[in-house]
Amino acid sequence: MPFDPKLTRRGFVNVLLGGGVAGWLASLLYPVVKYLIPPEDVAAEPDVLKIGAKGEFPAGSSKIVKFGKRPIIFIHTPSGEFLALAATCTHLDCIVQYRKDMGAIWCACHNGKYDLNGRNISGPPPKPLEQYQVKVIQDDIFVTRA
Amino acid sequence: MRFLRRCRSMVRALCLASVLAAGCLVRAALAAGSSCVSCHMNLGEAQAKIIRDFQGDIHHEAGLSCHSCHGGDPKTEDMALSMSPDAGFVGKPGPTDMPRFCGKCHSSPAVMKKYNPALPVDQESKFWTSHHGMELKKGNAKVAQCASCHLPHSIRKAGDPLSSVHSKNVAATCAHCHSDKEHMKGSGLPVNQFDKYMKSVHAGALYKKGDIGAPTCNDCHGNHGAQPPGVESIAMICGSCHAHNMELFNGSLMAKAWKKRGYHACATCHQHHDILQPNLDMLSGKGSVCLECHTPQHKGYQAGAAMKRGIEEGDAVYSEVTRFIDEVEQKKGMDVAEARDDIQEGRQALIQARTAVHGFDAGKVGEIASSARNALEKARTFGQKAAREFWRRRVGLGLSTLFITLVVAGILLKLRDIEK
Amino acid sequence: MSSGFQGSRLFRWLDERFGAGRLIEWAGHKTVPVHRGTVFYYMGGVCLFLFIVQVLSGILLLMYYRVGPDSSFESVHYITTKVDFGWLIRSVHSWAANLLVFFIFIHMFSVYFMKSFRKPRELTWVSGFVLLCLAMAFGFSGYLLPWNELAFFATKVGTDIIGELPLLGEWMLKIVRGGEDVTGATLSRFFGLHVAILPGFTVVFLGIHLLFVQVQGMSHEGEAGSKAMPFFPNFLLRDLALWLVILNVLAILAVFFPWELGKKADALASAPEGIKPEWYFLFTYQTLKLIPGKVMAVPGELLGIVLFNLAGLLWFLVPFWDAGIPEGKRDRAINYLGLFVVMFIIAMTIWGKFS
Repeated sequence: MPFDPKLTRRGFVNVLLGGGVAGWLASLLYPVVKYLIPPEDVAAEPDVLKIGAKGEFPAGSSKIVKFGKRPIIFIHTPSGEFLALAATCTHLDCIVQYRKDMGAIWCACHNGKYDLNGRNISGPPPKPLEQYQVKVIQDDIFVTRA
Repeated sequence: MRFLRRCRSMVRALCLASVLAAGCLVRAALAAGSSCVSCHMNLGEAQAKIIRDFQGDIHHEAGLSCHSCHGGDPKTEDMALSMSPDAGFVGKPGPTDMPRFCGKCHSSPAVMKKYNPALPVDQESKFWTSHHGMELKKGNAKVAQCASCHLPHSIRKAGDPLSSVHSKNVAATCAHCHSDKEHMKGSGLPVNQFDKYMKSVHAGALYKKGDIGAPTCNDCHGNHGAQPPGVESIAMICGSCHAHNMELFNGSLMAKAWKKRGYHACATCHQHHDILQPNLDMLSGKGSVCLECHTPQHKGYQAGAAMKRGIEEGDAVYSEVTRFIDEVEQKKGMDVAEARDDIQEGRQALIQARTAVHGFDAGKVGEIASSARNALEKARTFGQKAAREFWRRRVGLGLSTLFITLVVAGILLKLRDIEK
Repeated sequence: MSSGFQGSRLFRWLDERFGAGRLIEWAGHKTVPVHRGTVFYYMGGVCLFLFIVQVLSGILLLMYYRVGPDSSFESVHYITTKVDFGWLIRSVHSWAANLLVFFIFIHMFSVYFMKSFRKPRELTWVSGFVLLCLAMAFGFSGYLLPWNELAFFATKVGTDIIGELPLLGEWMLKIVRGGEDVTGATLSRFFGLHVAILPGFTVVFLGIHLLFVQVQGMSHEGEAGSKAMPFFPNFLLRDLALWLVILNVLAILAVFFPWELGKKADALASAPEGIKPEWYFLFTYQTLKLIPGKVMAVPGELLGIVLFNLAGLLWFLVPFWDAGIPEGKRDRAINYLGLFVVMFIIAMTIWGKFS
């Protein structure tokens, strides 16, 4: 077969183009397809958190749970109200607790106190606790961002 | 922005101007109605300063004037009449008379109700129970009375940053006498409390961090009833803020043993006045406070060493992981917010472990410290994933750049073919 | 390649039904002048390509984006941190948006200085100007969508200007913001604008713009007698190569300079220092700042807005009043005016950036 430089050159260009386009399409479609597959831990930043059944929390009880990454304190007050507040003390980030005997939220680290609306009422806390919303749906208790 | 700043400074200037104007007006009004002011204004700088200072005094704000405290009749220009005892003139009270002088109003619920119903009226009676009060009763005029701390004629509310009894000014006010060697001579008291306090973790929180909640002199000693706390009450006083530590300590085996030996619950390890940021070396090693009672062979000393080890390990992991995450964030520009949450959790657990030391239960401390390590390891894993992702992005970019270069080269070659 | 395709059965099938042969012939009659400034003929194509990138990456972002004051920031954060390659899509969308505005400006000024807007291409210029306005509206509305602090305050400051207009100002401000202030209602509005209304208009005007270019061919104004190359396939292949390079640049920018998200918007927080609009609004912003508070009893801001609108109108109508200038002075007048505008924009942008 006679050697035709023109033909091999065209063949080379076609292979180059074809391979390049194929590789480029792959490098374009791969991220897009991966992007469209939803990630697994969809619940990392939830909007709603189920605390539990109403019956689990008699009046005067409380529970500390994690709302996403942040701890919150859920309280069933003796007067029958449901409350949810951020559980991180605004002074030095300790975890607060509900003290039925004080009728207040108390931080053990430096004796800071908050009333049940989360307002700082005594001790070193400089700011109130952030409030969350509590919703009771049938017999279950849910917390959402305020 | 700049506009806003300009506005703000303008408002500030206006405020200042109006305050000054109001001050002038008030002075004019005072002068017009009061012979005290019209005379004393011209009795030299010292007297004039009293009148100037009084413009900012809380009593002036409440509508009181010179004669409200000093008596006399400001309406008459005749000095003999205006300052006659018949007109109720009492003049300048001596130190020993001061509590009663202020107490005229401040100990009377009926009077105080008119001006500030929320203010207690027990300052004077408390004062008489204080060391200051008891000494004053004996005739020792060197001790503090009302006017020593509440500077006369410029008395302000405790919440006012300019007040001599504002929490940031209290230490200096007490030190005025208590750090003065001459003044304290014969009292048998040391004069280094202020210097010691300024080194303490409490002063650090108050002055460096600006935490108004941090304690100063009067938070432990009381103010009007100032006294050094006794052995019995020292734990109560520290416990009024460090409630959890106190609870832990009182529930521990140590509490009973210390009581027997007559040790202070808190000050034995943490001192007083110079209460430093506690460190782990207090638990074991040469500087250990445990060695006061325990020998290094004791089980008790070993427990201290174990607690120290547990927390130290946690600390090491904490600084290692924090440095690593910082690097991933700053040098690689990856989002590490999630790892920060875990680091925060680890930091909190380490603080809790330090608090748990006061229960002297090495097992409990170790448990909390290891939960801190778990949280920190989670952060590390996240950081490692982010670092891998960083390289994955670059490799992917390299690949796609390669392919694009190939295609572009192909197109250009093709063009050459076509245009030939 | 083309000859191979034109001989195929598929082509014959298409040709018999739709006249594909005529279509290709029609596409082929356009030529592109070859001279020193040929590089500027690529700018329109670059804009077209970036617009396509915006549409595609925008559609991808819509898969996860949830509009609302409680979810906008969170969902963008989710895209950039949780979704595989979400950081890439988001950064490409932001970078391409900025490059698009940049290349539209280059495209516009090159057309201006080559005087390609003159008869018979007046309407191509007009539709292009509309597309510029649409692109800026895209930029302004899209900037708010991540609902972060910078976007929130920039939108607040930006929309405040509307309220300065006499009579209708307050009423219009309410319409734009969906209320008195920048709130979740504003976010919804801007979202609707960004993903439905503006794309609709843009497709229409872009279609008209491209149709005009195709019908009239490229302008050879002032280049009579110079060389030319066929648009199809010679120029188109070069276009494609350039587009690929641009795509690669976008990827490099996204990897090495990922677009930041910052802090979530907080209506109660005080405005952070140094809030400035996007760079393509900076020259307007800086000029408005320079005008004194009152000019002969007219509020300065109002005066600035009126002046800018007049200048915009003048620019918009260039093909029409240009024809009225006497032949001998025409080119020089247009060049001087264009030079002044370019210098003004560059100077004010730099000043705005560093003040």
